[in-house]
Amino acid sequence: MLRHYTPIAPALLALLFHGQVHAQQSDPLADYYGNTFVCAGGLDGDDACHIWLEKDGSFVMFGGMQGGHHGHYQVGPLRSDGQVALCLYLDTTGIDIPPELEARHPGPPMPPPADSSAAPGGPAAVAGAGGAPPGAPPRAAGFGCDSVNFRTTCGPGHGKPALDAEGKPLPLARAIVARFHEGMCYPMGGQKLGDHWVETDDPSPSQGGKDQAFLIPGHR
Amino acid sequence: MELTMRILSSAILMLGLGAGAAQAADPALEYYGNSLLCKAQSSGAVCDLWLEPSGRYSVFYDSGQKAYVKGVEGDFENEGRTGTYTARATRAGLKLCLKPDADAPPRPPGHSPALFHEAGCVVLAQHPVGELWTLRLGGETYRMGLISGR
Repeated sequence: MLRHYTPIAPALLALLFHGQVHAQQSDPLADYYGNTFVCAGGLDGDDACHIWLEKDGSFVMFGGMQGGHHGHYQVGPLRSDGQVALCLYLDTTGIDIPPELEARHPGPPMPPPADSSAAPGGPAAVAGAGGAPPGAPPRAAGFGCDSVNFRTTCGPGHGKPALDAEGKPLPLARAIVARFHEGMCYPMGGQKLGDHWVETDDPSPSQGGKDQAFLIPGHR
Repeated sequence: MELTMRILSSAILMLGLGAGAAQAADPALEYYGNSLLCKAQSSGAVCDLWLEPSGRYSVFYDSGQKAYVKGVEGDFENEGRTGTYTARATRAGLKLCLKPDADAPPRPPGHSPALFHEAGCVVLAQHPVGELWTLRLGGETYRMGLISGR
């Protein structure tokens, strides 16, 4: 009796295994889960954000924005380049950090008040440290970001001002958090652990519209 | 019926007391949902430590210096770690012992020492949320503060 069933069990196991492998391969973000996505300036290469994406739809993000923050994400349709649009939403609008405990380089220098309605753009540009990169277009008043159909576009006239309760522009690190609270979408996925690539479809024109990206093992 | 009600009330009361005592006994309770920030006075490096009731922790660093990315093994300006911790109330304060996850790499050469980076224990004096204090440890002086929220 057992001899009749013996070939079936391995076949079922093989099918199950194949199904699991296939399911894993079909998720363009599979290698992101449990690991660290690092974004850096497309031009200056400055380390700007670290994202710990989890399969349950949550993430932790830190770098240039007041320490770490929890968030949740939405995945858009698969693109022709094998990536998906990933929209990141921080669960917080930021915390009040005393100046004594602020990071020395919380982000690029504060733009003038009329220009402080938003952070300048993509993960590297939004969360980036340091000054305006060489070649970056001059910022115009009202620079901000809008997200429509899983696509974020940043530039003059986009978005709404990131203001405090008194209507004053938020400090940049806080403005960055506010921007990500509203939602920022980026092309991601399709890469393998250990990859280093340049993303040229960044929503922001700063940093040449590019991000350097890394997928590194573990939480770092 | 009355006896049953009395027994039930007592049981509920005891359960409530037990839960309250268990809650009060958690020495790290004030840390949950908040951020323990530190700033090394010599380097300007900052850290942000989260303790979870599950016994897990996360810590995030901004080295405060422009450490440009060089590659996948890059010397990152920002760095994060996760691990497990134990917390115990002592006369001097909260004794926090951290054990980073095995996959966490050593701190890159040239980076300043960082609080909560390696396995080990730190005693944190008790301060209310929002109050800042100074911690001297391993030759470094840190400004510390438990800040509301994350």
